[in-house]
Amino acid sequence: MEFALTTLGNQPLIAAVEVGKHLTWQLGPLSVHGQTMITTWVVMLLLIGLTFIGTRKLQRVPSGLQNFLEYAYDLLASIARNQIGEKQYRAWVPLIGTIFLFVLFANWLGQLPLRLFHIPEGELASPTNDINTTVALSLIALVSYIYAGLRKSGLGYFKHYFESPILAAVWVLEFFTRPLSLSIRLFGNILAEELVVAVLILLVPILVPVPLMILFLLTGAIQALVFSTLTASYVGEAVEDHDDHH
Amino acid sequence: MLFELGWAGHLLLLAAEEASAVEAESGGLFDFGGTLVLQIVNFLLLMTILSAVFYGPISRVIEERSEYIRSNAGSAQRRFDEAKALADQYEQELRTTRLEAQQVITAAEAEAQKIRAQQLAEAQREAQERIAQAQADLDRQKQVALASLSGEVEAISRTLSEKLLSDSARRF
Amino acid sequence: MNDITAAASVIAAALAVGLAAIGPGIGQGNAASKAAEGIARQPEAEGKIRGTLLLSLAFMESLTIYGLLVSIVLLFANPFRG
Repeated sequence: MEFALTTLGNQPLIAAVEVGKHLTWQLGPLSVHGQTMITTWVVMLLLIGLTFIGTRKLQRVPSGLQNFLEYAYDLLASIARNQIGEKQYRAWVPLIGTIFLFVLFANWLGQLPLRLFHIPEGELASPTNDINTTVALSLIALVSYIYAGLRKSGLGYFKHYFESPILAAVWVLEFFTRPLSLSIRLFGNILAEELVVAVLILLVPILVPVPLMILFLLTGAIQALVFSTLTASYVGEAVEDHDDHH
Repeated sequence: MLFELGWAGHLLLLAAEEASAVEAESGGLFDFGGTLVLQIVNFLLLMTILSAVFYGPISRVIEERSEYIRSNAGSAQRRFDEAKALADQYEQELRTTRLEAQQVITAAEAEAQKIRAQQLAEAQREAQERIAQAQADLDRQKQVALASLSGEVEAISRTLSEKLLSDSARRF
Repeated sequence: MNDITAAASVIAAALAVGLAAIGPGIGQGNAASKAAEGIARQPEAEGKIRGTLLLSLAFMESLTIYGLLVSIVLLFANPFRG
């Protein structure tokens, strides 16, 4: 297979499709994907830094970054409010908002030319390009809406699992497919995006991938919206009154 | 390879084989493990920190602002009401004052009218009196004049008659 | 990976993407046409319709993505490698 590399000269180091290669770190008993950790921490630092700087001098009449942050807060709160309802959405804004912000920044970070930073193995990519991240997010969502249901109606939350055997099968299936589809949707979208960009860069390394990358900025934002909206709607379904439930 | 692939296809397959080779060591695409645990920890950490530096302060400042606006709007309404009441009162007072002024003017006019009529009457009466007095004086002087004239007439007539008598006597 | 497995995997990958694109393609077309109708009928509701449309398009898109994921697995993380 070396001839494939030699036909491209010495370029494949910046233009090769790599999937499933990880920089493995050993942290105690855990073996961890280094590049996912690095980009996750970059995202966290960006988010925390931005909000920290923006909320230093909060004023009654907002200006500059505070304006922007209030707009962002309003957006996040409206996602939660639309799905959960006016009465109880406030407590869920941090969860929904953090999911949205984290996924959004993670997706957008993946569109930066991260492959220019060389790491020993694999390459830097969006954290949501790693299925561990998306599964972690969907598990958090799962635990959150189960917690919401338990707090709302106690063990009665599981009542609908036992109403009839067929329905029980459907509910159990849904129990597993919700987090599965949440995580696979995000993972597949981001992986596919980065793969498309990688293949395009392999074919035409300049200018041609740019429109697609702009499109992927949009789809990255939509995926963040979808993930947070779905989480919010699951939570909303868990906390709503079950009388008018189908 | 069975097929004649283009170089890109070769490269894709090459990458696929490399990935498979790596997967043998570390699991590849679906490699669950410590990353999952650490990502959960990372996310919870991020959520906590963002709650402290973002959601909490921002929602507080928004809440405070809406509270401020609500109370400000209330006090502004109250002040507006006060101002309106003051304006009403002023208007009322103005109207009363105008009415009073009108009354004062009317009263003064009436007074003036009365005084004028009085003085006019006084003057007329005085004039009348003076006329009457003048008339009386005139009458008295006429009487006096008449009285003195009648005396003179008597004397003259006597003289005349004596003269006539004496003349006739001498002739006879 | 032996040649038969590689060939079958490549064909299966192509089929997975192609077939998974049919249904969502039709569905997205339907959704987009209805959304356009809705906007034509009620232009003032355009913002809401666009938001809903994007969200439901993302759901349909994810079905294709599942197929794409299967093909990616077949190409890059083939569980049947020799």
